[in-house]
Amino acid sequence: MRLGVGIPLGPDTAGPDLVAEAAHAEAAGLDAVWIEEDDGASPLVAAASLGAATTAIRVGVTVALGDAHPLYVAEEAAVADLALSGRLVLGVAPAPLLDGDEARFDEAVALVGAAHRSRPFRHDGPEWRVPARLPGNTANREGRLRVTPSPLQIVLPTVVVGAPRTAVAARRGLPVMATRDEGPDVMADAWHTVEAACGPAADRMPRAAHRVLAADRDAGIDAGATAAALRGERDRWGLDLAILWMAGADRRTRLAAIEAVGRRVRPRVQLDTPPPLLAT
Amino acid sequence: MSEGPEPPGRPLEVGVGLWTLQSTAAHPRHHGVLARQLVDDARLVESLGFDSFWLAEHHFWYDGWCPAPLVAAASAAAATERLRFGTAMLLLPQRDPLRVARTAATLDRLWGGRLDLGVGLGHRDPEFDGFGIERRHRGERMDEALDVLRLAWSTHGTFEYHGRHFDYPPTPLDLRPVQQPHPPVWVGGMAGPALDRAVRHGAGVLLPQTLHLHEVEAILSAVRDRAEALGVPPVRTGILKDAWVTEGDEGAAFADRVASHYREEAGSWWLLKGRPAHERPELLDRQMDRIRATLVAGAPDSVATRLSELVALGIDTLVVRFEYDVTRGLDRDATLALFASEVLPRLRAWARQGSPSASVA
Repeated sequence: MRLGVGIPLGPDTAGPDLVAEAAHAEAAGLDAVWIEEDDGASPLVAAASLGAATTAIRVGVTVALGDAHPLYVAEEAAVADLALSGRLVLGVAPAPLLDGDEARFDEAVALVGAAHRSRPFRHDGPEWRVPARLPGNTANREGRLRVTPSPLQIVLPTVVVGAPRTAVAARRGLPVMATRDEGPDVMADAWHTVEAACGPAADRMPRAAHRVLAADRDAGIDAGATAAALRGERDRWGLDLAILWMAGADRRTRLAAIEAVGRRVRPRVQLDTPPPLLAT
Repeated sequence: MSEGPEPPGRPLEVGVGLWTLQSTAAHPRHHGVLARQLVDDARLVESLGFDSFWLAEHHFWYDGWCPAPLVAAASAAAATERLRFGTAMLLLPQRDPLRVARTAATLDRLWGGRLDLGVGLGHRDPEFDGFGIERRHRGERMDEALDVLRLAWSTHGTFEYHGRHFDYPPTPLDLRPVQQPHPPVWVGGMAGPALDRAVRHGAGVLLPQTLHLHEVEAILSAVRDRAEALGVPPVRTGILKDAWVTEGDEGAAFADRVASHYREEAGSWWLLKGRPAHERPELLDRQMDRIRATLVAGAPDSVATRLSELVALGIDTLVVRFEYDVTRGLDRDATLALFASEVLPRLRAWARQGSPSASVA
């Protein structure tokens, strides 16, 4: 199982702290960090900031789609993936403004996907037409558009965040990622839907979830219980990429918890059952 | 520089540009390598004592010209400490301004308030069309977008804006950029509407490279007049300059390469008198002549003198352009270092002399 940690991106987050936390996670042997869109901040700007100070850890983001033109997200993600030397994971969720408009979110996801392929495309949807072929735009007209540069990764890993959007994920052939409050039963159902729609392709998809990790200032984390819970979800619905969030913990507690996850949780979730010396 | 132009008596900002992340036919590069080099280059530029590092933007071209300069800038901002990052230009009318406000504010907040946001109209039909925007609306969109940026950056609660081109229902917003009241905005361009726009919005004017000295003088005078007429404080004035410093004879090679760079770009993209430029080679030639005549290349002394002439007119920010795909074959690091050691200190020392009251701004 791959384990990662969420890094808060708040109004008071300083770049050097963000970078230090990601570097700390990499040094602790974790597989990924994740940055969410919080309070209007741009997770892709934050993600690109991690390119120089980290070398191998994956950097996931959750970005809102569908309020502005999806091509802006597609372009920023490609540039961020290049800045990260091909380590971006793109999570997409509907922008709040969409207010449940699944069709619009679906179209936005399709458009981002088209933009990330390395060939020109045409998109004619209810919401967006690309190229638009507007009457005034006549010079050097092109029939199809190519978004450049392409992401560094040949297929940029893209996940749809949130079980209510499973239908979109299934239709677009994408994995669905659990939010913190979507538990194993919800996700088992969601993945049955994806499997039914995608067949064998579903077997090649990562099964990811955001999960809350209680981290206490003095007591730290309960590594055994955390590992057991993760193994349980793995066995129940196939969880294989867990992003752990330490809500409310101060920075020092988070850094200590990151180290503990690397040292005591991650080794316990690699095999079917933990090796004897790690059994407790 | 014992005699020559009158120094303005205030600090001069000197930046370097323009990083575009292009992999062109003439000078192909792996895009991942370009992304890494951007970071290395920023470190170099900072260590040499320059004030700022400037990126450009375009979309949907074969060479992968960077479509998201603020994201690219973040990677370099993280690797530096005091170097400022500017866009020359971010194509604001092609974008969603509330989104730009968020992206810019994040960069500004994360990295210590080091953003200079230069904005340009954009000119390529396919770029506008890709985003479903009519090119002919670019002026109006620019005006509204500048209002949206300033409003969004200063909102601490609920943001709302209703214009002809942008309509945002009430949204909670508290972006809190570090720089107050907001990151400096520069309007790129030289035509009357661009100057009007800058002054009206309290933005700096960032002039293009290809202006003769007398043209710069006229424009700066026009900017001052407009500010006075509106009863607003004078705005900052900057200029881009294609430049090369060499103690040998690389100057000629530089001029040839720059001309070839612009010839490809202009030939592919520009309309000259309503026709694609590649159909009008004689007009393209004339533009190339102008480029050659207005670039600054040569020994440190002459480069310093020519740049000081601009500063003496009232320019407070220079963005010296050494960085192109086409200069990859020349020793760009050497010219950067030579500029930093021989031109920069002289320019700075000279600019600080004199009294501010003697300056034109």
